[in-house]
Amino acid sequence: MGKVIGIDLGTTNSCVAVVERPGVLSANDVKVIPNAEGARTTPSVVGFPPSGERLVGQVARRQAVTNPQQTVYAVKRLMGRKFDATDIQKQIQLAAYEIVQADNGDAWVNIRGELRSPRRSRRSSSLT
Amino acid sequence: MSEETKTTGETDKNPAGAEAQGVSAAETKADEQKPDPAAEAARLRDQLLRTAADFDNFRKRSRREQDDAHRRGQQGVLKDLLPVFDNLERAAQAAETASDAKAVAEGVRMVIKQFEGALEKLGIKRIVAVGAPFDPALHEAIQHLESADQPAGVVLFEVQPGYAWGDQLLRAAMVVVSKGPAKGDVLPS
Repeated sequence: MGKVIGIDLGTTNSCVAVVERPGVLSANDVKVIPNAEGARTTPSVVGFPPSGERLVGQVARRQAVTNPQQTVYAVKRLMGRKFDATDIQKQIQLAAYEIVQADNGDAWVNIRGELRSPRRSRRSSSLT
Repeated sequence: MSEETKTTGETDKNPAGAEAQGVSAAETKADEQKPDPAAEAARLRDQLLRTAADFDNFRKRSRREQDDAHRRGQQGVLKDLLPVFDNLERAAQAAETASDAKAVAEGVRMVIKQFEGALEKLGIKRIVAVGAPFDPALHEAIQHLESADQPAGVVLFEVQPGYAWGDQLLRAAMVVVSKGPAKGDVLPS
């Protein structure tokens, strides 16, 4: 019997859990998988430091102060939204990173001139 | 077994009969081996229930064992730290009557040293921060300041020390990171 993995991609934190047997009978059947740092949740943050690497989670959050324009957080709010939407316009006022309009009208993120979609880029997958 | 021996003994007298007897014996044996489906199902069902119950008990037990191990681990650490607390209490008591503040400070410093010894015994190491290049794997940036004498990306101050436990980060060091010189400033060579 295969195992089922559930991912909660949250605006602020994300969490991964596994169900090891068919049929959830109680909360004991669901086990949260800790990340490499041993934490049960991972901040939904991705950082692109000048070194060119990509930082995810707690590590990305720790460098946010030094690299605000290239540190993306709360990107879930942009997923599947149009750039013109009022809440996106509000998010643009609040976010330190640059939110831009993609060719299809969606709200994307500009990282050093490179446009990235919150949905399709590897970023969304690296957030989980 | 004894029947078989008997059959072999009779072979000389009546080979055909012996053969017939052998066949019928084999048939009876096959009949015995064919299980009664209902009984077999009941047997397997019983086995499954027992295994499921065993597994459930095992899960409960391993959870309990995990909690116990967690508790024992904490106990070990706390035991190592209690002497430090004892001495801190003694220092506070002594400070009430002491006339020389320097002597009290010296005593507290000794307690700190003892605490450092306890941490070392546990394998906990302090993270080097000031002067090192900022590394988000070890440091948490809380401020980004211009600095005339440190290049960008170097840790200027440590606000709160960080600690590592083996390969694992216990707590990141809270640091202030250099932005490099302000416009107009020249970095001394």
